[in-house]
Amino acid sequence: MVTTTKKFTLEEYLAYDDGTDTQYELVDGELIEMPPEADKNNLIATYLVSEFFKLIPFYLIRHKCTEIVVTGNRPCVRLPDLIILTEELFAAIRYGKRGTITQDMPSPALVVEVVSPGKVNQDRDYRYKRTEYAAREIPEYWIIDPVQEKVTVLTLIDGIYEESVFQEDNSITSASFPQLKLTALQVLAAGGV
Amino acid sequence: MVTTTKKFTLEEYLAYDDGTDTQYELVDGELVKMPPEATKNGQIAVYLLSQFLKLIPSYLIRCKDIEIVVTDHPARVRFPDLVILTAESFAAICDAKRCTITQNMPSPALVIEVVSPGKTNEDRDYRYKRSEYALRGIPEYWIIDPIKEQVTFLRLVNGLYEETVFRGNDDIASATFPDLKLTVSQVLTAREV
Repeated sequence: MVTTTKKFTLEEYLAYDDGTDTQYELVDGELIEMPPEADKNNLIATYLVSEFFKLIPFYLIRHKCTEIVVTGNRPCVRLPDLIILTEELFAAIRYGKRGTITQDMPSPALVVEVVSPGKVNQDRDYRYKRTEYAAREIPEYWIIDPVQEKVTVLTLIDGIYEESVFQEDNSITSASFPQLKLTALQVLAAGGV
Repeated sequence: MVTTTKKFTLEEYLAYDDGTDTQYELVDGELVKMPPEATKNGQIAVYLLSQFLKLIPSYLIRCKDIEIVVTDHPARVRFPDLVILTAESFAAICDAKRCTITQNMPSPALVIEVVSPGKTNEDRDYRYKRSEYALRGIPEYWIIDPIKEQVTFLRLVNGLYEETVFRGNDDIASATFPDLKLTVSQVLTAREV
């Protein structure tokens, strides 16, 4: 038996609904299923949501529900753990049928990913998405890594990310959210409640 | 007087001809004029062309006569100093009316930029294009810098460029072209030494 993997165009993907609740990312035109994460990772993402609620209106916070088109030469759509919208982006996306940040919309203020264990997952967050989010001109990208116990904050400067790594009781410094008072440990420990 | 800068879509840009020989890049829908480069930079590009001719057929080599679409929205098209095609990318482009590597074509094997002086030019080659060429899936990108007297060699590994910097009498070690025997000094002085 020969199995062929169907290649989706971006348009086909955005109209796709297989009738299940399975979440996908689209990578080079192929559907990649996103299985539920370890509960530890869920807790970290939810903890960050609770901290952002203290600072910004709820409608700018997207938790595992909004995808972003990051196409280079092949159709690619990512589903980040957390996205903080700007007011401009909210205005562009609020009446859309599907929570998709398309290429003609403004960039979000921040994207956060919580890394799952294993090389495939690490490469996805540390390498592929680093390139994709930089080219998509997302000004800040955080990678929360419970396995390596560190938080990597990437800040877009003149077209490429500059990296800062925070561990233990280092305060995470964010250019976009300077009022956020969080240490790396607070964020990582949220997974161990 | 109010001057407005016309924003081009990718389609408009690809159909654009102002009747001059001016070369442009398209950055976020705006035409950016590429002025003639310093003689030395031109010599470096031609010298590299001469070295590649010893290794690969001439129809795979493009020197300042091919452009690459890196993103559609915002419309961004780059005009590298030197591009080495693969047989697949040559097959895709050989009958095209305009020498443009569009988003649906295979990536070239290698792109080379010779950096011009000044922060704007340095940022373009070292930062913006680094993100863009990685997203475009270009496996190798060389940045030749006559001012810093170095060659930055970027190799795409799982979606992100890994960087090696060569100087002086270092051999340029290319994974794609292992038969290329060149030192940094040879390239920067653009002559056999």
